[in-house]
Amino acid sequence: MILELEPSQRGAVILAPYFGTDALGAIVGTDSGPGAEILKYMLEGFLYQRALQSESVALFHRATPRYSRKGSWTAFEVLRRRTDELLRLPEADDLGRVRPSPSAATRAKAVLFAAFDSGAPLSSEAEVCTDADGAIHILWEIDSRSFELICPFEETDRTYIYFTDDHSHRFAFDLSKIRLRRLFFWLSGWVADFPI
Amino acid sequence: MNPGDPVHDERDALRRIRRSWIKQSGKINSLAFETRANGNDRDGLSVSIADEGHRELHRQFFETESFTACAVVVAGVREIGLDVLHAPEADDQTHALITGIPDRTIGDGETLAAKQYARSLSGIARPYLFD
Repeated sequence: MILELEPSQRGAVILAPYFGTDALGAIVGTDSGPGAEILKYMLEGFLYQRALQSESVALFHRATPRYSRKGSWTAFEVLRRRTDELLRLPEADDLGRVRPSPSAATRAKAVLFAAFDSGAPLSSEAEVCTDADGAIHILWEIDSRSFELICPFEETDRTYIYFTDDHSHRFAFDLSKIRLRRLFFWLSGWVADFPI
Repeated sequence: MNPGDPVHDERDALRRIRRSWIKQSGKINSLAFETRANGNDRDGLSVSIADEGHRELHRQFFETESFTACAVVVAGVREIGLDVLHAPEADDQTHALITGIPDRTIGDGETLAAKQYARSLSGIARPYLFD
């Protein structure tokens, strides 16, 4: 779909920050679900830009980029290596399972890569360990915000994210790239509202 | 003390945890207070009540190459809506249970609530040293 703009409006559109493929490899920016969602953001951006120009709203803060693709890739590599290291732990101890299943490690790395590929600001400053059921937990904490990827031992159990701040807490079972991107941006403080 | 009696507010409840559950910051990971997925902790989370007369016994139980102890003050546990009840065992008369945590085998809502309690408990927990 092409947006037809008046000459004075050209260059005023805020482009969606994400382009690429979704988790299934479909190209976004077309009439696919994620594409339609991104188009919606573009239109919202356009309307917002118009509102700024008419001074019905004011821009009082603009976040300065504090991450880079290279930094996110480095973080992915660090976390991938630390996840692989879990596979060398003892199988069990007095409390229960220690070593995760290969499938849990594979799922964790897949989500980490999807987060990187979504353009999310991935950080290597995370706790990587297993619980007494052999589930992998990767925990990021920034100020009062906490974000935890949980990959259960059993392949049939759902992989999910637990995120919380001082006031709210929630699970996310949708681990699509768009969802991951939103959650990581929230964790990093770029998005103020608690994700729903 | 009888089974089911409440533990006094001022006491320290010790929880045996993996050393890997102490975060780089020195704080305690909420995994230390998560209940088992199979429902084994349905009755409560096992703790021991710190006691001078059992200090050596506790040191041997809690302090190993892979394990260590963290402590929560019982009053703090009650402030977040849980309880600590005596549950003496043959080999540890100071054994007790942190009770009131929802059963995560029931569903996502209970799992979410249990997770939040684990986070709250880890927030008031501190590493415990047997000097």
